[in-house]
Amino acid sequence: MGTKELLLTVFDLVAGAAPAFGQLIDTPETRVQTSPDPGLKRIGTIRPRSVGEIA
Amino acid sequence: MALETPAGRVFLIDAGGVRAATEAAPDYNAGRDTLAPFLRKRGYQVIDGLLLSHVHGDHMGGAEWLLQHWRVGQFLDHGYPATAKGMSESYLRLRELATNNGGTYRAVRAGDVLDWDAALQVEVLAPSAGTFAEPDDGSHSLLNMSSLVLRVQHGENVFLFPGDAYHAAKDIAPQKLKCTVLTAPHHGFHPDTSSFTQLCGPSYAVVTCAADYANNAGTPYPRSPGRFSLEKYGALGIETFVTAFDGDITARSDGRTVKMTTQRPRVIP
Repeated sequence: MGTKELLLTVFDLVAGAAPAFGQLIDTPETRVQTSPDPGLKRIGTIRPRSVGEIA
Repeated sequence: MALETPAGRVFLIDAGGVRAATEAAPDYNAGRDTLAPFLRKRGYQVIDGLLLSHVHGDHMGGAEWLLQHWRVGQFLDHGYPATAKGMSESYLRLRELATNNGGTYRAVRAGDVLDWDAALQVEVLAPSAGTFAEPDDGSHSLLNMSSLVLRVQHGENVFLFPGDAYHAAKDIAPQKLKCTVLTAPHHGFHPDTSSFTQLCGPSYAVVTCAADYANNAGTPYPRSPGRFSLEKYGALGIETFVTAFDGDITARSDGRTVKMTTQRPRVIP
């Protein structure tokens, strides 16, 4: 005590670190929300190429 | 965590948790079984102040025992409203106990300066005044992010205590986050390690966590936040200490330098 120093002791606690918590899901009303229909113009469809075409 | 000031005062920042007895182990109370023995060993008869970062059991669990059995000069917290969704009866009891036993209770806000020791500048960085103005959902993450963030400066050294807030609040000036010693937010579980940490720019990081959290499998969080922190902080050139691997960790500041010591040689299971 009274050593003119500042001492910080961080303890190795048996029960000191959140053992259970949920995932962080952004739920407040103020969150940025995305419309399910963004209203983009459809310009075409890409047909995936088969392995034979790629090779 | 215990902060012993140059003038010989002692302040506790958070109070750990509690655990019920099982067949394999007796019950545990961080206040009774870890903090009080430390205080007695160091010769303290009163606790000058007890500051809780937020209303979560792993930070407040040991506080009730301390407030019942020790004289605590001042009890400080982030002022979470008594009627809010995330508040608990056990937490409200703490505020009552603090004043019933001759101490004071004060909810602090960003900008408050605490008169803990003439050799220190102690400043509250968060939460800001309007944080709890609106009703909230009381979610775990909301309470984490509204943690009381404390900055303690001793000469050229700065210690930062962000509780479980692992994103910097927008209204905290970045230069206020610059620190020598960072007590890692959210026990090293924070997913956004690099940006917050880079703002803080510490020389040392101290992580309080257990070695393994089996329940984290399948979540975005690591099972071993200690290993995660050693890797993430290490990549930023920060010397990192983990209670699960190093035991109790002490940082000793003379105002110019900080000397870190650990209870035992590092063992990573």
